[in-house]
Amino acid sequence: MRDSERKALRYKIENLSNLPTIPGVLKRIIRLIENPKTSLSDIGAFVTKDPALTTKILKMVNSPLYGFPGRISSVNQALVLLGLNVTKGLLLGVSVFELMQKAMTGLWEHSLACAICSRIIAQDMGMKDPEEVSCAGLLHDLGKVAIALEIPGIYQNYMEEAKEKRLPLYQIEDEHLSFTHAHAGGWVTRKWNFPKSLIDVIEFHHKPQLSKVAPDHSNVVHIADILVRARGLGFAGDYVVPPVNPKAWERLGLSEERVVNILSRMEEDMAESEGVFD
Amino acid sequence: MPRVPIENVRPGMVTSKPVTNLAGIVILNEGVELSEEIIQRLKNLGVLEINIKGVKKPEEPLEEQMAKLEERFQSFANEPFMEVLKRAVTTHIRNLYEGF
Repeated sequence: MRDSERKALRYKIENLSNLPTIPGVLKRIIRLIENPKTSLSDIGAFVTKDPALTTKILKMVNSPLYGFPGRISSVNQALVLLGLNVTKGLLLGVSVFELMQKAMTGLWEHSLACAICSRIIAQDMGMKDPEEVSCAGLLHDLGKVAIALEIPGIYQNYMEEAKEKRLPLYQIEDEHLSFTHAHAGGWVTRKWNFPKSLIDVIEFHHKPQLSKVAPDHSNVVHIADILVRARGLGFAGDYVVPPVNPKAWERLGLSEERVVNILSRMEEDMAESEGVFD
Repeated sequence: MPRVPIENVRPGMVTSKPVTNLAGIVILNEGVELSEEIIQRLKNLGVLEINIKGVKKPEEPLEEQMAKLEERFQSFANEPFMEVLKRAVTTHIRNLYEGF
C-alpha cells in the first residue's frame, strides 16, 4: 500500500464513528467518552435514561467477566465500583458487541474469553485492578473491527491469506498495510480519549515488552489472547497460535499446571456467560 | 450452562438458573445445591430439565479437537514455551471429556 493510501486509511479508521453503519447509540457513547470533561455522574445519567443500555451494563457487571461476588442491582452502584476508566471501557464493550459480530464471526467469543482469562490471571497475580485488565482483554482486538468495517473485502482476503500461509493475521496486515490491527486499535481509542493504560494494552498486545504505561496489563492480555487461541475458543481471524513472548510468560510465572488451572476456570466462566450477552 | 434432564441430575449439582414450574413460577433459585430430596420434589412437580452450573461435554469429538490443536500449533512449535503450552491445552481439552 502506498504511503498516501495508508494515510487515508488511517484517517478513516480514526474517524470510524462517522461510518453510517455505526449505530446511533454507539455514536453518542463515543461522543460521551471522547469528552475529557465527562464525569461518572454524566455517564450514570446517560445510561439510566436508556433502559436497554442499563440492562446490558448490569448483565455485564454481574457476569463472570468481572469477579464481583454479590449482585449489583443499580447502575450507579456499578459505576462507583468500577471507576471512570473501567466504566468507559465497559460502555464501549457492551455497545460494540453487535459490531464485532458483524465484523468477524467468532470475534466476540474470542474477546469475551480473553476478558475472562485476563481477569483470572490478574486476580491470581494480586493486581489491584483486575476489572481494568478484563476490560482491556475485551477490547484488545478493537482494531480488527475498525479495519473490517473500513475495508471489508480486502480484510477478508488477508484472512484467506493468513489461512493459506498458516500465519497470524497481524503478519499479513503488516505486510500489506505496514501497520496491524494493534496500531489501528490504538489510533481509534486515542482519538476517543480512552484511558492511556487501555490504549497501551491494545497497541502492544503482540509486543508487551514495548508497553510503557501498563506493562503488567499488556503482559496479561498478551498471554490471555494466546491461551484463548491455544484452546480454540471463538475466532480471531486466523488459525494459528502465535508465539508467546518469553518475558511475559516468565513475568506471570506460568507453568504447565498453572495454565491447566487457568484454562479450566476460564471454561467454567465461559459456560456461565453463555447467553448473557445476546 | 447445560440443561440437564431431571433423570440425570445428581445430588451436589448446583442450579445455574432459577427453576420454574409449568406455570412459570420460580420454585427454586439459582445457585442452589441440589439434594436427593429436592431432586425428588422437582420430579414430583413435573420439572423436566434443570440448568446446571459447570461445563458441558463438548459436542465435537475429541479426535477432531486434537487434530485442530495439532494444526494450530504447527507454525510456531519451536518457539519458547510453545511445547509446555501445547501440553497444558491438551490436558485441559482431554479433561473436558471426562466425568460425563
